[in-house]
Amino acid sequence: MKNTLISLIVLLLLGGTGYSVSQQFGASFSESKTDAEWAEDVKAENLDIKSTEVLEEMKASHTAKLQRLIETSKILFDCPECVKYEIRQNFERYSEIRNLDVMVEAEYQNQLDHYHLSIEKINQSLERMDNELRLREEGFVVPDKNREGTKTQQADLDKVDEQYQRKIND
Amino acid sequence: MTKYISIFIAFLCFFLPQQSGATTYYIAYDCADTSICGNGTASTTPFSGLDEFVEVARSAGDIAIVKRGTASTTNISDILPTSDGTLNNPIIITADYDNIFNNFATSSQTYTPVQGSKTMEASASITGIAANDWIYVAGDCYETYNNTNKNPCEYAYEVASVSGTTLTLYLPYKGSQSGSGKDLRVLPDLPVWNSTTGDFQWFINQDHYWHLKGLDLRGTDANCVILSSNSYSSFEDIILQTDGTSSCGFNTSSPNEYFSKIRFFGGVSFISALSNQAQFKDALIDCNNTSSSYFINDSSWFETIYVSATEIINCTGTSIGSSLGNNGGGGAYFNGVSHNNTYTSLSGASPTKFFFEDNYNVIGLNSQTDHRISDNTLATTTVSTTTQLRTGGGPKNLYIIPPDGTGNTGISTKNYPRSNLKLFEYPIYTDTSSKTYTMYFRTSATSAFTINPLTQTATGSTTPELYIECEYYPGSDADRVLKRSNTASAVSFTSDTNWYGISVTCQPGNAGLLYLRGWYAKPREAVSNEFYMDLTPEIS
Repeated sequence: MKNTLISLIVLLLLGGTGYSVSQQFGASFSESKTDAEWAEDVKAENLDIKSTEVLEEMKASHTAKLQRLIETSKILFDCPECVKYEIRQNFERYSEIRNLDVMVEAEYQNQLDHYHLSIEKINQSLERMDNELRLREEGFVVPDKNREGTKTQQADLDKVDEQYQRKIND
Repeated sequence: MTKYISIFIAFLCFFLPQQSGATTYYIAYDCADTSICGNGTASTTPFSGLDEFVEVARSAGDIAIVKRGTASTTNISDILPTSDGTLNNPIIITADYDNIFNNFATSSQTYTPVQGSKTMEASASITGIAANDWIYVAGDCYETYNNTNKNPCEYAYEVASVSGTTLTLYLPYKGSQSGSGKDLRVLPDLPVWNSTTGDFQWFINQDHYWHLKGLDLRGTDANCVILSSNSYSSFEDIILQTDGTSSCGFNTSSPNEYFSKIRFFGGVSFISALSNQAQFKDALIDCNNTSSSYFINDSSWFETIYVSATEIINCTGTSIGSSLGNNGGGGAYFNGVSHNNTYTSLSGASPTKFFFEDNYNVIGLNSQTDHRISDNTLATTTVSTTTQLRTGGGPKNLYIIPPDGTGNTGISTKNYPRSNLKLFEYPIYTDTSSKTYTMYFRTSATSAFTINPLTQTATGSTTPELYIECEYYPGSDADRVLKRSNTASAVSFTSDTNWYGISVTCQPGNAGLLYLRGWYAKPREAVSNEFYMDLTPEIS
């Protein structure tokens, strides 16, 4: 619940900065997944092989990263002309560049696209981390050891099918 | 016949301990050829491209090892990391230095490496090594079977050419081996990402502490092959190649980035828009005679950069430059930089400084550029020389070429210390006895001055125009004191070319470091005002 609330707050902040919420997530957010589907989906980012402690660290790191990216990229929306000015300054040294105005606009759009894509990807990663942690907490998946290498009791591992036993590799 | 692998390759039959929390991944651009592409967690199931490692969530310390001798030039997109490493646990992408993908070889001939040289002679006509292969000399590096950490090898080198018995490297050999009869380990080319005509780039924006080692990155993005913003990243054994017309190597606004053993080929500039501290070491910058090409482009703004053991060639524009509208430039320290460029000046908004040590790779040739406007062909302000040595003095002089101008260039006594030209600064360990420090000066010619530099402070000025000072602790009080020479008419440059001494007597209250400095602040006259200083202080 807490994680959902945080995600919603982030969405609102993104909306306030001009970021299009409707473009934010791919199918992972707009569609609900079963636990089995999530257990499979997180493998796209190798989150299944990360120990729980490392996942917690990654979640904190990426949450901080998201906020930092939003903050430092505000200028893209607050002052596009400032960004374009810097881009133009950078390009004007090249006598070979033709259609400078077009190039400047294209580069600005490029940076905007990079920003949107980064936000989307980080949010997708956070969603996957949240779900993997939830699945572990609920016992749907069981890691075979912790960060220090202490192995999980076999009895606990046997509570789930082998496909839901996480082979930790960190 | 398989050549016996000599003892210089150490094989360990166990996993080396890895950073806790870190996972090792493997990338092979050609995995589809043998249908082994997979989830990247083993060399037998590698990722097929960089995107699969870079563009998902990674934890600090994660490392991707990339197979050599492969290229990824189709289905390319911008590389957009989204994770952070840490200072002590960066996220690493490295070429294979451990023969994990089993495609290394050992040289058929033996070689004679020479420290500082780009060439090695072989025992017979060279076979099995081609341009763009990499080599290391047996004993300089080690391979670890199933290594899951970054290989620390510092002395692997890219081959520039092979001809007969001569192997030529792009960078001079700096390893520890010498003498004949040395085996070489032969590594395939670095893994190639993109082509020189592909409009794609690495966009490392706010992604902290990434370390890239052993990658051949190409592109034609007008904002450079790598755009690094606030990333604190480091780059080692990197090749950057552009289309040679409108692209550049690095666009970086990150503090404290470190570049080591970099080869840049064919672009408008190696660095564009550098804005913070950076260190460059052992690099080859070849602009390939691209029109108006630079080492650092002319509109960059930097605080402090350190460049050592770097060769800058075929850059046709002002190859080292720093100018900006609102703030002053920083300091650039060059040690052992050689170049063959056609540029005629160093550009810089005051108070940009350039320091060259062993300039043009001439040992002992040290010079400074200070208080100069852009396009000033008399860029050098001070330079070491062995001409006009003082009898009984030191083995080297400093030749001073004062800058002209009265606004933001030139020098004066009015804005100490920024408007003064610092001639030298010596840290001297001394005891608590009173000592007199004397430096000697002489003019280049009596016609070089119409009015002698003032060696006593004039009314309205902060300092004399030519003076030395010592700074030291006077006693148990923690504040340091400054004592300047202040004697009227200590030099007479207008009447003769004799050596004149300027002295200051200092007695620290504590044994320890005393700083001895020399300054010059006479606004340049219509004549040259050039003079010599004996670099060796006389202490009595």
